[in-house]
Amino acid sequence: MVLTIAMVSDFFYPNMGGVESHIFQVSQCLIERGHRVLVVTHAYGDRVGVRYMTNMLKVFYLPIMPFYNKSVLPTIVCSLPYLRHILLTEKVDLVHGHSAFSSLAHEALLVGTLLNLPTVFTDHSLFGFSDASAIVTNTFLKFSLANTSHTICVSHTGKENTVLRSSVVPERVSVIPNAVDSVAFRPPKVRRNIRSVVTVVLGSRLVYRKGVDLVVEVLPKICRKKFGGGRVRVDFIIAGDGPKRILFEEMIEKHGLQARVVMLGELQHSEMRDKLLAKGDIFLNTSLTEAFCMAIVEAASCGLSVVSTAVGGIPEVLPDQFIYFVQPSVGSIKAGLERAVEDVITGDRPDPWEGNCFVSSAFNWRNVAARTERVYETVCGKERQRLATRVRNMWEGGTVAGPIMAMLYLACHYFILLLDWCES
Amino acid sequence: MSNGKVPKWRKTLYEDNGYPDNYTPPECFLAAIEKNKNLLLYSLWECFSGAAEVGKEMSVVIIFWCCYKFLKTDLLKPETLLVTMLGLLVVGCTMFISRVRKVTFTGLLAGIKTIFLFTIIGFALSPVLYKLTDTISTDTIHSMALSSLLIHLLTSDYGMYAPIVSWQISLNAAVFSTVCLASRFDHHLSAFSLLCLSVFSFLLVPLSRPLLPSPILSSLLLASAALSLLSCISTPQLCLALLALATVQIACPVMFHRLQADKMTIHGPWDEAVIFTAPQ
Repeated sequence: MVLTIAMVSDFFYPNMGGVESHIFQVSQCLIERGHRVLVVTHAYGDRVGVRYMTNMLKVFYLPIMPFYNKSVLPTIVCSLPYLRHILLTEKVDLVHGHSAFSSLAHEALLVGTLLNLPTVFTDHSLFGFSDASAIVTNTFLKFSLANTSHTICVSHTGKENTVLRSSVVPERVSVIPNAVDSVAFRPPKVRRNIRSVVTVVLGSRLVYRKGVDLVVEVLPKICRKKFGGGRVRVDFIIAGDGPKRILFEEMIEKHGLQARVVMLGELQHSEMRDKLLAKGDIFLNTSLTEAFCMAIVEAASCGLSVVSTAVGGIPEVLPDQFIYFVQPSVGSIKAGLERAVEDVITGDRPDPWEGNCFVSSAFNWRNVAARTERVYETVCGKERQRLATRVRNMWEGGTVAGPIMAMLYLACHYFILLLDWCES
Repeated sequence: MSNGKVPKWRKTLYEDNGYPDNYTPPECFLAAIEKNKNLLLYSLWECFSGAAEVGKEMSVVIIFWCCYKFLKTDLLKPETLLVTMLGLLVVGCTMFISRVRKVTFTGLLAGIKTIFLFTIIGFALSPVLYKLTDTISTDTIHSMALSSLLIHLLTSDYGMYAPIVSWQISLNAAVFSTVCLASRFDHHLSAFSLLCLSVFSFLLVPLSRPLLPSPILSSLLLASAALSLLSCISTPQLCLALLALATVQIACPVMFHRLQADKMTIHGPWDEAVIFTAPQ
């Protein structure tokens, strides 16, 4: 069955990130499988209008400016005519929205259900429950997913989180992990010989959420120690930028580690393998929360040992031979790093190409696209819901907010009828 | 089940168990969820004590307003007010020194010097003070004063941390209301005494918090004093004040205590990890 699929999200090229590469890669693999894919996103600077990317991937840059955090303002009436026009003229069979933080994706799901198209939503992140912003976001997500045909999450923890936040039936949530290009992220041709230096690398945004405060504490302690019977020392390479970078600079100054710790600054995704991962033996990840963590899979694909905090979806990603789990505390991270360094020195770890083979078979984009296609087939095969049922789903979403959203939904429905009449 | 044909479902992403993507065994789904972990529940006494702090500040504001009215209608002479405040200040200081914190002689001398300096400067500037907002109409003055007193109440420190708490804003708002009200007087001594009263009640009285044995008892005393003073001025204002104090000190803590039973917090592996700061 050949489908025309519209991928909608605020986050796409020229922005670089996990969601962006996910959309691009899955679209390319779906085109390879014979479907027709188009991407809808908002304008980036003066990149407005229709552009074509690799393999005739049509990208619509809608003339809406981003409002907050690279997302557009959720007005609904502003983007509804554009989305309706695109979905009808391109004869789209299915709407696929990405990322809970993208308001354009939610609006597209709304328009998709109003035009009685099957809709799929992919959630890429974990979210809390306790503060005010979380409560508001979760309520909107609940209404958004009330009429969505199917949801995809990137990990089992992500599925539990999404089900709790939006009260979706668990059978309507599939778990399809992200993937990594294991050809681009391959180990170096010449295997590094460990003589006197073991290199630990770190590549993330330097913010609180990534646990960099812990790294700043652990780093001097590890640098002071000698391993392998006193002949091996540990050096660090740190890539990334952010508000916490100054902590690293201060720590380097205080302990005089200029020769031992190299700060690379912000790196492009394409430079990550050559400038960072190919030079390291161990990858350190100290995130405090993570739904999937592509970085550790990229590191495993390049043949590095991974030391990571066991938070969020990380315990589900790699088997024990490729990863050392630690707790988010200075003592635990230090102990984990010491174990990893000793194993690197004694050679008691899998061959780098074994890691690459594992990642290429377990996490590849063609597999993700095939599983996503299965979801599409399930969804397209289901019977369409009547307008009354959809409005009812919205109405039952809450005691006060439910009726309001149901009326908003009906108002949008009449707006679409008006636009249909105007065009005829 | 491991009968050799169907592998057991495992919570991993890298292996194909043979199960469909949307399947999770009911016993594994949300298995790690914890509800109401580390829940902080307040007893009724704690609720009332907390509300009593707010009630005390409201009573102080009402007493301030009543003194202003009395000064205006000449029921209270400015000299009487100044002497009373001086007496209370001396009593408060001795109690503070004896019970809370020991002060050295040089510290005491420095304190007396500050008070003296403030009094002299305030007295010297009071003729300017009471002419400052002279041309503005009384209605505007009263509404400005009351809104700044409301801001003072909103930003006061009641013993709990919140983003809105800022003692700088609260003290400045209170002094601003004094400047507004002082302009309604005819004599500069009344203006000066009102200024002293405002500094006394909004800066020094909150400092006496550690002296008082029980917040509920002191709030009741202050509330009764405030309401009895207010009854001499006008009855509608008395009713409103009584209603406000009753809501804040009785209705709100009871409601808060009742609603605690509905508290539900969810914890699980998706939570952001808390960094352990154990000593190394």
